Amino acid sequence: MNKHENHHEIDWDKLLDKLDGSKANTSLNEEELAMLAAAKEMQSRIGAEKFPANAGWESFVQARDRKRARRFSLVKLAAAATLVLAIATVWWMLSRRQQAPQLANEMPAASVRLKLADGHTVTLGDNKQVIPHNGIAAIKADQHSAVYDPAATQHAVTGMDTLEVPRGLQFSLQLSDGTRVQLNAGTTLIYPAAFNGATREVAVKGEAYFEVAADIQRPFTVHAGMVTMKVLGTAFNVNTYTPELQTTLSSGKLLVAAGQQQTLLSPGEQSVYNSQSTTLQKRTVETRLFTAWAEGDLFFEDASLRDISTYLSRTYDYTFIFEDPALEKVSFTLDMRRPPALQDVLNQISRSMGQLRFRTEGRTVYIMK
Amino acid sequence: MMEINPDFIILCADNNEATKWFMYQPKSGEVVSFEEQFKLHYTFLCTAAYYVVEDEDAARDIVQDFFLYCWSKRDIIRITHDFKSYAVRAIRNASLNYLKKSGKTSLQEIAVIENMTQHFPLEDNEDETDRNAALWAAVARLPEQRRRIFLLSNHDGLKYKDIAETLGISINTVKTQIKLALQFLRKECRWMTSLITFLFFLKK
Repeated sequence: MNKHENHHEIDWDKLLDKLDGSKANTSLNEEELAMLAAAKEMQSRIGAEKFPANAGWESFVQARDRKRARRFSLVKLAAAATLVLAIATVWWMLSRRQQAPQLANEMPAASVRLKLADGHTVTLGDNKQVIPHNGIAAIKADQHSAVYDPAATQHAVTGMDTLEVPRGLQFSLQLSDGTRVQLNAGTTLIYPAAFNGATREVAVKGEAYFEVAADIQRPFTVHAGMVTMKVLGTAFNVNTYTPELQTTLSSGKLLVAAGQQQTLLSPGEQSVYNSQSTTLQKRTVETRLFTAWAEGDLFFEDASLRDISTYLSRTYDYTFIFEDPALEKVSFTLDMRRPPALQDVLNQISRSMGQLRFRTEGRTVYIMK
Repeated sequence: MMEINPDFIILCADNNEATKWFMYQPKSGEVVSFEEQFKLHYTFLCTAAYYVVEDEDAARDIVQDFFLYCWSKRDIIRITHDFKSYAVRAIRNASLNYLKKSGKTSLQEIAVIENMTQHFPLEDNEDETDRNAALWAAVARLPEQRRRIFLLSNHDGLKYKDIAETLGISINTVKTQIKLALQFLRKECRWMTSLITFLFFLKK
């Protein structure tokens, strides 16, 4: 291209032809291209008023509802098919009941409980409910999640609410500032219904995955035993189940402090606080090992059967007993979606470890050769 | 998409109720409903699509399909930056795909357009409405006949030939007026796509 000769000249006939919709394959120089781009930009900006948002929304709602109607009839069909299958399965299981071994299919017995600052305790069951807070409809909750309405809690008096997730359940919570917290089984979180002060502070016991809503004005702090985590716009996992308190960072920056010691975590790093030696250390880890649970996965890499069973007992509210202690040390890699019933996990384990067997009695699983 | 990052999350407050879906944008500290988010960006996104496809109906369809997609994935979608920049990128790609599929535009031309889309619309430009207003103000300063011809072409989508017929003037007059209008408007709105940005493309 001889751009040195004519790149400041615009061949207007050529350019206007192009703008008028000519499909002729002409090459344009720099200045022509720049003018073409400017002309196109003008055309788009001038045309903006042809796309009013309200009309767009109405058209969208219509298209969406057409889609939804189609999907609904599919769902009904699927539901009918499932029902037939379920009846057949129940009949089949009843007829085989005598010889069939007991399966670890018990669903968790307890429910999540929300203790409000005013002393009320609410049990979160199957039904959706709206929980008033200081007389305002402020929390929408069901069995698996609760959302604090940021608007309704704005002028609420700041008192501490407590959420208790029993063994066998997981729960997701959205705080009034938009921060999302995934709570693993057997976890308690204490937090204010509204963050009215200069800081946002919560306390956790158990295991929780935080996705903190950025707010430079009000830093977010998580207290867990002796350790304090100061958040600088971040997603991270806190685990106090283990003898050592682990904090694993997925994104952002996190300042972890224990007594006089402190360390700054970057993504992919984990701090470990040992309460016996009162030391705070930092190491690099594979983040997913520590955060997979929050995405609904079960993920263990070369973990001992003992560690796995400890985790499973909390997740499904079962007790594990090793009939052969040697099996505790068997190591194992497991990566699967977390199924609703423990039995599916046990099946997965015994499929890949032929010599291992499980026997279930009530909420107890015996592990043997 | 689909990464864990709290910058932008569509979250579930209550199953299936349109009004109960909120989008949270900590960058600005706003919580807006799906409907509000839609109305906030719809016009701009249509403009972005129109810039590429130059067909009003196709632009509307592309933007509507994008929002239908967001709606269907509203419980799992996670966007690592703010909604607008994600949406602009998605719309840009969908529009370029539309051009490719329609088969009416040569690949070489699509490459030129693709290059142009890197400069308009800008993903994080906050003052889009101001710029539209500034352009309209500049259009208002055009001499009357020139303004009329420019709008018949750019707003009503008439061909030069049809404008000449409508107004009973020669096609060359139309072209001259369009040229003068473009030169004036570009000078008045200096923020518009600049020359330097195309050097990269020409060097290839």
